[in-house]
Amino acid sequence: MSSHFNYEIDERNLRLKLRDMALPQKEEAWIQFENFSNTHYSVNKSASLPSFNFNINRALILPFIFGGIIILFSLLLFNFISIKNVKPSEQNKELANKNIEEKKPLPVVIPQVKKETVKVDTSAQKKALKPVETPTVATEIIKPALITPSPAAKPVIADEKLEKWISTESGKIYSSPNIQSNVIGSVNEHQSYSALEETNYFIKISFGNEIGYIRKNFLRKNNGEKLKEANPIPEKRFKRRNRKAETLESIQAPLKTSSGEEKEPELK
Amino acid sequence: MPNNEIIAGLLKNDGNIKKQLFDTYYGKFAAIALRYSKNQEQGTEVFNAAFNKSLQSLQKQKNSANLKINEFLEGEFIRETVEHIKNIRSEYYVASTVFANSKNSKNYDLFESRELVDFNSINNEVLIKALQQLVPSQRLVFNLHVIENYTLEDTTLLLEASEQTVKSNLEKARYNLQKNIEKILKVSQYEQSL
Repeated sequence: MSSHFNYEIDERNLRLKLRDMALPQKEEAWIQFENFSNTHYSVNKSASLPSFNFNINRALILPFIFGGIIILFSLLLFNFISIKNVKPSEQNKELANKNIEEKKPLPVVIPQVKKETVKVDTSAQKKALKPVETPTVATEIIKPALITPSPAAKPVIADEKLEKWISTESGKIYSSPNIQSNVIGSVNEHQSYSALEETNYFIKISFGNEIGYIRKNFLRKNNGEKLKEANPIPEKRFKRRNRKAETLESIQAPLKTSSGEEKEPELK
Repeated sequence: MPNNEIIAGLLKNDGNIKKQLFDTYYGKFAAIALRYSKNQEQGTEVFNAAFNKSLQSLQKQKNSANLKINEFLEGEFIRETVEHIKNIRSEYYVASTVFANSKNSKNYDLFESRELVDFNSINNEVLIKALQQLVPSQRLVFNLHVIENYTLEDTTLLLEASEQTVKSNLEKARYNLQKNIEKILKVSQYEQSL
């Protein structure tokens, strides 16, 4: 457009002219329109149905696609990870009921109480006193089948013949057959001791009211010698703390016994 | 005829009612279709499609008692015409309305006296022909804003274009329309002189 352009059309006049303009009627035009409307009449029938105008574009399609993908992935994850609450099946319920029944306490037998009345023959007491009821005596009747006796440990039968031992050196008396244990006393040379029990490396003796253990290294068996019974001296200064560590007795004690025989170490 | 009977007849596809409506509105609506289209053939095609759709939309009207059929049909016809032209707009990019002048027709005489054209006394045929020579986008904007007296906002909404585009097309349409009218008048004068 040139800059020297002068718009000379009167738009108002133009509008009036063109808006009032009308073309003459033509029969040919009606025939054309009738044919056209008949060919497009099927559209008129469908007009009775509600029409839905959806603008199908990417703004509508993309969210649907992404939504579908998300749902698919969530279904896949749902198949892999079961987040359902596991309910016990009927069989599990039955088993649980059985266990509960088994755990029920044994039937308690209520003791039968026998009431006995003792009548006094004295006539004076008859008048004065009414019949007196003696104290109730309860006797428990327990079915022997219900109680299963637990197997009791067999008592260790100690030898009645106590062996006599003679100390060759002065030594210590321990509270247990372990040199790590507390020292509760000491022994002097050439004294006899009666052994209550005998282990590989220790003998058990009665020490006052207590029981002590002496190492066999300081002792030898008595071969009929007549010696005074020993009077061990209690010593408190050798008190040691109890140690929980497990130690091999073989480490503390020599492998060779007083008799010169080698023995295998024992694990304690 | 009351509106109820017209709508009931249209629903039944009654030919008589269609004929009556056609006779009533053909002259005006055919002229509208003619100035929105590029030639007579397209005008007839546009008229048939737009008038048929206007009647279909009239069938859907439920509150027919207060309906002004004349205004309703005119508004629907213009809307359907615009939609039809918009849908077939692509074909116009091939055939432009600009006339290629031959070498012989060019006039290099700078001192030629320019005849003044009285645009107010131009007959409707020349105006319609000048309008039909416009590019569709310019023709639509000019028809809607100048002749139908639509506002720029309404035109923008109807054409689904920006306001700047509509304004630009309107200016081009005004310029081209005036030039087209001048050319048509010159050609007609030349033909008369022969």
